[in-house]
Amino acid sequence: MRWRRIFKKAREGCPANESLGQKQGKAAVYSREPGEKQEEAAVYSREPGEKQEEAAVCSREPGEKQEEAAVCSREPGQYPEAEAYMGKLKEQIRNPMARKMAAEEIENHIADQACAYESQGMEREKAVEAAVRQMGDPVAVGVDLDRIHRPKMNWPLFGMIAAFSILGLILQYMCFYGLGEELREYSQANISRENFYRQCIYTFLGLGAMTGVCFLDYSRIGRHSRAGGLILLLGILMVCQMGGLHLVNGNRSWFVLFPMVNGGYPYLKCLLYLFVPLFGGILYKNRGTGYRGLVEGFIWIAALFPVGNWIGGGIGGTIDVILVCLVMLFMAVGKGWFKTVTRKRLFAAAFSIMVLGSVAAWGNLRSYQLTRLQSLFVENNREGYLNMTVRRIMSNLSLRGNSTAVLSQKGLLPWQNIAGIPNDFIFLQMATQLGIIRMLCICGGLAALFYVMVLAVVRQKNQMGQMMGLGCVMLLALETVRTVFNNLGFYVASTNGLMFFSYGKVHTITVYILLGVVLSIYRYKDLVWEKEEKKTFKKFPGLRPAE
Amino acid sequence: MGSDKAMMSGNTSMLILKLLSEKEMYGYEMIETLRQRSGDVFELKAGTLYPLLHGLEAQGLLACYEKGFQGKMRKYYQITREGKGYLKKRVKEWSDYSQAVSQVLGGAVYEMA
Repeated sequence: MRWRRIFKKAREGCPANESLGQKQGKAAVYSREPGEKQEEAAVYSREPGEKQEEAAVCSREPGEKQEEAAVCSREPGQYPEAEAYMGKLKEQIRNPMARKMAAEEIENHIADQACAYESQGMEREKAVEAAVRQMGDPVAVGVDLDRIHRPKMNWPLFGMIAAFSILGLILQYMCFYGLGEELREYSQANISRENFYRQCIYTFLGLGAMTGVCFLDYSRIGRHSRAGGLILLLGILMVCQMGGLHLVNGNRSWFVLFPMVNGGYPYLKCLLYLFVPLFGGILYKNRGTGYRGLVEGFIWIAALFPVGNWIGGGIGGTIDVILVCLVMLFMAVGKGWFKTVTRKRLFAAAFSIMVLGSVAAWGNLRSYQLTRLQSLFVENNREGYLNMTVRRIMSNLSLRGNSTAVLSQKGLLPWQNIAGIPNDFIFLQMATQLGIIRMLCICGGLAALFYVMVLAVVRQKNQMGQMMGLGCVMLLALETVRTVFNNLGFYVASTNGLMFFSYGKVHTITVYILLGVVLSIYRYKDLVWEKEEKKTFKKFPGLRPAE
Repeated sequence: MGSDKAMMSGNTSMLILKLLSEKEMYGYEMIETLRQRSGDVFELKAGTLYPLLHGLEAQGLLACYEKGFQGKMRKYYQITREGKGYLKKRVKEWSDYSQAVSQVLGGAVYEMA
């Protein structure tokens, strides 16, 4: 039955009737032999709305349509050569997605070739046999295609992530957890070795989650992005606003996983990170939908404000996610995904929104937020204590080696002056132990990691993969850069931590999930293909592919 | 007139890239165009073409997209910027090679377009 359908379609769009050199959209007249009579030549027009009798005429002889009907009514299995050929070929291709794609393309080719032979006067069965013979050895073709379309692990990136994971644990121990009991007396943070062991477990859980996500086909995540986005945001709503954790059989042990801090769930803030790849999928799904897609994008971004507020804690992580989503939306417009939305119009609208938003935000900033901003530029600001202290510590660091003795004399040891060393200020703490040069090397290593990640997603052919991957990389890069700047005395807003180095369960695992998405995008780069944009189908309904 | 297989195999990718530098095409269209333009000399087997196309695509020299046509999906290939650069390099190599052969044989020297 399948072959009957394929041949029927092939005859409707018989390539023998298309002039290979002519532009699409114009009527094409194909003549097989020079001097062949015009009335014998097949005529085909791609103009939409063209009369039925003018379109898709593949028959050279009058009356052949009746014969075709008879042929098409034959029992399935009437083209054993073609089926045997495809069977052998498909056996060689292990990946189901590649198998389906390659089979479809080659089946279409056989049908096109057979149709061309038919138009030369050959009978259907003979034409199919000849077309199959023309294909070559199915095993060799299948083996070649299998070799090309195999999921590929980005081992350099995987290796770098694994190396940074181990390095992160070693440095956390060397620079913080392993320093002895003296820290425990001074620090406000819980720095027990138990916490280090916990962080080891979180890191290995994260690596496991990353590997799991890497083996998932990312395009499935993209396909279910709307549902995923809704579940994520509603899940956060349930947990943070409706007391959802109380509803789980009244089991309060869930609070151990997500403890309430200062009336909020700041640890859950990292879960918003997972929205970024989903947003990439949502944007991709809206390709060709014009303003509707753009408005939907803005609605999703707007929804992040209340969700960030429900979670509580610092606003920094939410702003990171919103910024990255906005950049992704602009990139989508730049790529022409929303056809009628021009860059000029979008940038005009975005500029207006930014100006109005900035004015509104400035008017609503709390006093500590204002003074924190002022502390970036003004010395001796009481509220800018944090930035001033960090800068004093940084100015006393040695280029290489440990600065503890100097800092201790001046009363500037980080754990004596700043809270949140294992999370927010681990970079500063490491700098006091390792010196500036070694920290610059670590920064260089992180920059190299981001470079490899950018290459992995930019070289991705599928636009959905590019968008999802760039979103993940931008978010991780923004978090990293902001955390480093906070640790250099340019603290503006809190971050969720520094990947590989900060303590934290949800943050660690979430970061590894995002890394897993990037690895998955690379892994399936030769297995996920672009589909035509919806807009084309809306404009020319005849071009809509068969479901 | 038959073609020298050994000679063909090394340069098929160049010929395919050349065709695609002029126009986006699907597999069958490439075979037909190549056959017509070579005066029936190059009759490329589909079994050779598709692994070659998929390989070039995996290398980033070609990009492809699916397009609905008369109710079925056709996979169209287009040359990328990297592909154009690679083609230029291969054409130069071929030109040097054919020029050298012509000089040895003592015949006319043809420049590739």
